[in-house]
Amino acid sequence: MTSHRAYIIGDNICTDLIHPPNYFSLDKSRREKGFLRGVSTKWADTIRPGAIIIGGDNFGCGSSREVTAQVFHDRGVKLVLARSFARIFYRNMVNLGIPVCRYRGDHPWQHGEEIKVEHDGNACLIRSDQTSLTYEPPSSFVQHLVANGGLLQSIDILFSHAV
Amino acid sequence: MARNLIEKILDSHLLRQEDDHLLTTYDHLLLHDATGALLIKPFEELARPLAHPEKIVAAADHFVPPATAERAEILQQYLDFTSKLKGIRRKPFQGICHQILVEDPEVGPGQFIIGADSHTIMAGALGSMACGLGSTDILFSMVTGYTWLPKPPVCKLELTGSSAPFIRGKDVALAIVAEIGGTRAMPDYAYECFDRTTGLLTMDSRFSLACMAAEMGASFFIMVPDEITTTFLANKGNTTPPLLPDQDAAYETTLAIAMPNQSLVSIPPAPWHVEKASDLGDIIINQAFVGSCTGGRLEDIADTAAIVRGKKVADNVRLVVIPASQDIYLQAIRAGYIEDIIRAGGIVDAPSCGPCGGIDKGIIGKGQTMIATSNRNFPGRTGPGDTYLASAPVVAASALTGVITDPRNIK
Ligand code: SF4
Repeated sequence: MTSHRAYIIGDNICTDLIHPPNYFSLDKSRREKGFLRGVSTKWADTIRPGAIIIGGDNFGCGSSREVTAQVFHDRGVKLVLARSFARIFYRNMVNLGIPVCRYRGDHPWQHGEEIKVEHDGNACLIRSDQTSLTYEPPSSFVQHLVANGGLLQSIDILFSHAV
Repeated sequence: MARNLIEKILDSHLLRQEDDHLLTTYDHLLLHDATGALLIKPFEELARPLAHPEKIVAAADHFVPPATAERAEILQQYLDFTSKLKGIRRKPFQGICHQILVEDPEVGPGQFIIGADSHTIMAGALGSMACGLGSTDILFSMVTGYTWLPKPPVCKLELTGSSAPFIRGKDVALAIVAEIGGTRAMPDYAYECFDRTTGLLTMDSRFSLACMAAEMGASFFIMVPDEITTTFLANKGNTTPPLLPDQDAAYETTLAIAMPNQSLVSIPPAPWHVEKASDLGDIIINQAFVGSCTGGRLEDIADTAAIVRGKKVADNVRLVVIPASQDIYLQAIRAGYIEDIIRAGGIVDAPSCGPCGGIDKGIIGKGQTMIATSNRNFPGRTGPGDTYLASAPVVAASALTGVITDPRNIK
């Protein structure tokens, strides 16, 4: 079991909230300040490495700007869960080797909550009051990409046997 | 076996199946300054050659001309970078990347197109599979010549009904987004859209519709080619016979959408909150914006000119018009539309994304309200104010009255 802080956010959290456009920058220190700033300025300032982010439906809808995924990497986020992800955002996360998984149905926590959870290493998060959330592993292709550390790290593996 | 259009295009681009995903080739790869600049460092670190430089189209449209010193530096880095990529098709400053892509004679039906921007899906209006990707995906495709995807389930989407005054592709797009956007989005789905309306949507309206498939959450959106498509293609010198789905092709699901009979407006904070323009109370605006890859084409500028011609933009309202490409700009000048708009008090700016991405000229301030032909109104997207989305006729009518207005009410 490992302990983590988990941050609960609601449905339709778009890329402009995940990373407001005015934080678009090639400078990492400026870029990472924008992380979740459209959702909560407090969280933008306080989220530490090892955090778990739990969204709802259509997480990451909107822009293809990869900075919106890169900031999860910059800030050392361990795991991102959602009921559904917007396609490009999901790919961007996978391509950068950031673990993203889907869960089914509802979870017991509220938008805006910041909670302490134990990760049992088995696709399950448990809070001290015993409320929990289980999630599904991604498809095997996606698992391989994430395990390799991302898409670019997978090039040689994917094409070693290609024509 | 009968195949739908997605299956045919995938079959003709398939390298191989890898686990539960496909590796495919592509015909064009689109770059622009904002997302392209993110590629520079990783591309140099990767130190691999381009797989197919001739397939790369490099636009510059987001920071054009740049509004801040930082953006000027980003733009310059991107221009320097793309000028070193030998053999690519560089097209800086010619307009919004998605528009210059569909204007390119080599871009046509049956193709697989990827781009470093979510609205790349717009090129599906020509009967091709097109999708936006992030920078790492694009970098991977630049150096390998392939991309990866799960085989998408396909929805057959039929547009029915007939056109009504002032109803454009944007209204159809908003009607569909209201139906399937937000939490109802099916992010893995591809759509094959059959235009069965009497009168048929114009090509400009189809681009506007396909562009907003990004807001529907679609993975791909194809307008099944017909005479409107072939005429557009022929006019730009592309005579490729369009690939069509087989008559008895199977689809995972179907959806029918009737042409709206009144202008629609999307209410912030998300594109899928849609109401009839005539049902809105008096919503006072500070800015009316006609532009972007969704709403800056000749049809939109012609609509704007027709509504404001001989009239005056309301006091304290800025009407900002930004043609989607230099080619459209020139056509609008020749047709007299630009003069009509300027004489009515409108501000016309050079082709670029303008305020659409919230990053350049024309953004709105705190407490301000904009009605725009662009595609997104998420909080912060176009500046700190509120943005309503609608067709050019609604935007132009609103510019005249200073409140969001159904264009049928302008005499
Ligand atoms: S016009 Fe807007 S939506 Fe289109 S490419 Fe530019 S920023 Fe993106």
